[in-house]
Amino acid sequence: MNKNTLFYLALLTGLLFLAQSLLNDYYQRVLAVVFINIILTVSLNLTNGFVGDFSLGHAAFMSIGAYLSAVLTLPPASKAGLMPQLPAWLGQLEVPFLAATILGGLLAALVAAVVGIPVLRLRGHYLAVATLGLMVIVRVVAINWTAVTRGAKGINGLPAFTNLWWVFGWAVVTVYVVWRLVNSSYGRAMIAIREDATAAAARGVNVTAHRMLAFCVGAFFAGIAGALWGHLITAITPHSFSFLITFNVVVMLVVGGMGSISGSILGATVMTLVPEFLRRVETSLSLGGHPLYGLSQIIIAVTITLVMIFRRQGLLGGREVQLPRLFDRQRALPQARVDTTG
Amino acid sequence: MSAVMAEKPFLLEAEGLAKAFKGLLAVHNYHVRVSKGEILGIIGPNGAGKTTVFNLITGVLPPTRGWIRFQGHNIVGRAPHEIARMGIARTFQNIRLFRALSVRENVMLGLQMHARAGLGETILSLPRFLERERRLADEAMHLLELFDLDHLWASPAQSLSFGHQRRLEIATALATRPSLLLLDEPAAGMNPSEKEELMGLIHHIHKEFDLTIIIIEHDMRVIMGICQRIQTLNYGEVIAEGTPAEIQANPRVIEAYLGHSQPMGTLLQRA
Ligand SMILES: Nc1ncnc2c1ncn2[C@@H]1O[C@H](COP(=O)(O)OP(=O)(O)OP(=O)(O)O)[C@@H](O)[C@H]1O
Ligand SMILES: [Mg+2]
Repeated sequence: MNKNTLFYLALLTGLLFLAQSLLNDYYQRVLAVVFINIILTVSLNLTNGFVGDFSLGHAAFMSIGAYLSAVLTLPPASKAGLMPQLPAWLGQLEVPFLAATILGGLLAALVAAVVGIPVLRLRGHYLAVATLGLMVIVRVVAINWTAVTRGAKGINGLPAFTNLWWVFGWAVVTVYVVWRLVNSSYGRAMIAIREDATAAAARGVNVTAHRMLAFCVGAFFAGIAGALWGHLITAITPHSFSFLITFNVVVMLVVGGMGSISGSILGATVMTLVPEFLRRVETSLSLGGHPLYGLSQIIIAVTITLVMIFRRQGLLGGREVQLPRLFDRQRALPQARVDTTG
Repeated sequence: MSAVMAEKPFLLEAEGLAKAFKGLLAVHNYHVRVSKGEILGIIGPNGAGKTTVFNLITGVLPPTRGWIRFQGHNIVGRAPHEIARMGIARTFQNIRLFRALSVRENVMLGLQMHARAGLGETILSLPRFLERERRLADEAMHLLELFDLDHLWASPAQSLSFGHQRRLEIATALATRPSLLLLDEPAAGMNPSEKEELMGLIHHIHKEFDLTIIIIEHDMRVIMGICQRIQTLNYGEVIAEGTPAEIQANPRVIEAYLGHSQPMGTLLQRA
C-alpha cells in the first residue's frame, strides 16, 4: 500500500470518527447501510461487470451468511430458548463476530461453488436462472429447517455487533481485494472473457475457472454483507433477503457503471442515500391531506429508466475515477481500458 | 505430392476429420501432416471449410469424426485453453482482440500462462506478484517492438487501425509461445504494400520463433510466396496437395476456382 492509499484511508477514518460523534443513530444506521451496499455492489461487479456473467444470487448468499453467523454468535443461553432443537455442540458454541462473519462468507462461497460447477461450464445466461433458483431454495430451506432457522418466525435478538467500524473495515477489504484481482493477470483474463470468451480460451485462459473465481469471491463478500446486515438489524427472517435486495444491488451496479469499482461505490452510495432521503420527503409532503407514499419508488424507477436511455454505460461508464495523487507520482501502471459493456 | 521428410515424427497429424453442421458437411475426410518448421498453405473457395479445420484443431468445435495428434498426443476432446497451452496458437479471420484492454494488456494476456503469480500472492500484492507483472509487461513490450507497435502500447486495442490490429493479433498469438501458429487470412483487407510487409513479418517470425505455420489465405501472391506446400479444399475435402507449382498446374484446383467464379487470373498470373 502506498502513501496515497494510506492518506485517504486515514482521512476516511477521521471522517468516520466525526460521523460517529456527530450523527444520530438514524444517520449512523443509514451510513452503515451505505457501506454494506458498497460491499454488495463491488463484489457483484466482479461477476456481472468484469467477467460479464449475470448473477442474481446476492440475496441468497447474504441470507446464507446472515443465518450461519447468527447461529454462531448467539449466546448459548439465548439459543437454548430460541432453538431448543439445535444439536448440542452447536447450541454450546459461541463464536466471536469476526470469525462468524468470515465463516458466513465461506459458506456462501462454498454454495456458490456447488451452483457454479455445473452452470459455469455452459455458455449463455444460465447463471441468472440458476441463481434465481438458488434464492428460492435458500428461502425454502430457511422456512423448513426450523431446528436451526426457526422457520418463518426467523431469528431475533441477534447481538448488535455491527457498527460503523465493522462495515467500513469490510468495505475497505472488499474494495481492496476486488481492485487487486481486477488489476492483475486474473482481472485481465476476466475482462478478456467478457470481451470474447472464445478468443480468451485461444490465448490459454481457463474460462470456467475464472468465471468460478469471480462468482465465489462475489458470493463470499455477499455472505459477509449478510452477516453484517443481520447483526445491524438484529433480526432475520426467510423474507429478509428477497429479490428486491438483489434488484437494488443490480440497480446500484448499473447506475454506477458496470466494470468500474469506483462506479460501484458511487452507485451504491447514491442509490442508498437518495431513496432514503425521498422516503422522508414522501412522509412530510402531502397532497390533499394524504402522504405521498410510493413517490420515492416512482422517482427511482424513472431515474433508472433515464440512465438506461441516456447513459447506458452508467455514471462512470466503466472507467475508474482516481483520487488525486498527493505524494509520489511514480508506479501506477497506466490504465488504458475502455468500457465496451454498454 | 511433395516428399515430406520420412522418419521424423509429424508435429501435427489429422486423419479422417469430419464436421457436420445440422446436415451440412462442412469438413469431410480431412487429413493433414505437418512437419516441424514447415509452412503449409490452405486455399479454397469461400465456404470450403478452411476456418472450420482451424476450429477443429484448436478445440473450438468438436469433430464429428476423426482424430488429431499434436506432438504425438491426441488433442480431440481437449479444452481450447489446454490446446493453447500445449503450443497451438491461432488468429481469427475476423480479428478478435480484447477491445477494452490496452495493446500491451492484450499481449500480456497471452504471455501470462507462463508466468503468473498465485491468487494469494496477487491479493496480498507480494513482491513476487509485482515482479511477475513487471516481467510480463517487459516481455510484452519486447514483442510489441518486434511488431513495431510499441509506441501504441497504452492505447485501447479498439482504437488501432485495421492493419495494426491484424499485426497485434499475431503478436498476441505469439505471446503464448506456440510451436504451431495458425493464421486465418492474415492479409485480408490489406493493400499491396501492407501485404508485402506481412510476408516479410511471417518469414521473420517463422525463423526467429522456430515456428511451424499453417496459413489460410485467398491472396495467391502471399500464399505462393510463403508456403512450401499447399492444400486445396473444396466442399470440405482436400482436392489437391502439393508444391505451389504443382497446385497452380492442377486442373481440379483450377476447376474448383472457376466453379466458384473466383478471379482465376490472379491464381495464374501473380505467382
Ligand atoms: N458454427 C457453424 N455453424 C453452422 N455452420 C457453420 C459454422 N461454421 C461454419 N459453418 C458452415 O460451414 C461451411 C464452411 O465454413 P468455413 O467458415 O469453414 O469456410 P471457409 O473455407 O473458411 O470460408 P471463407 O473463405 O469464406 O472464410 C460454410 O457453409 C459455413 O456456413
Ligand atoms: Mg474462413
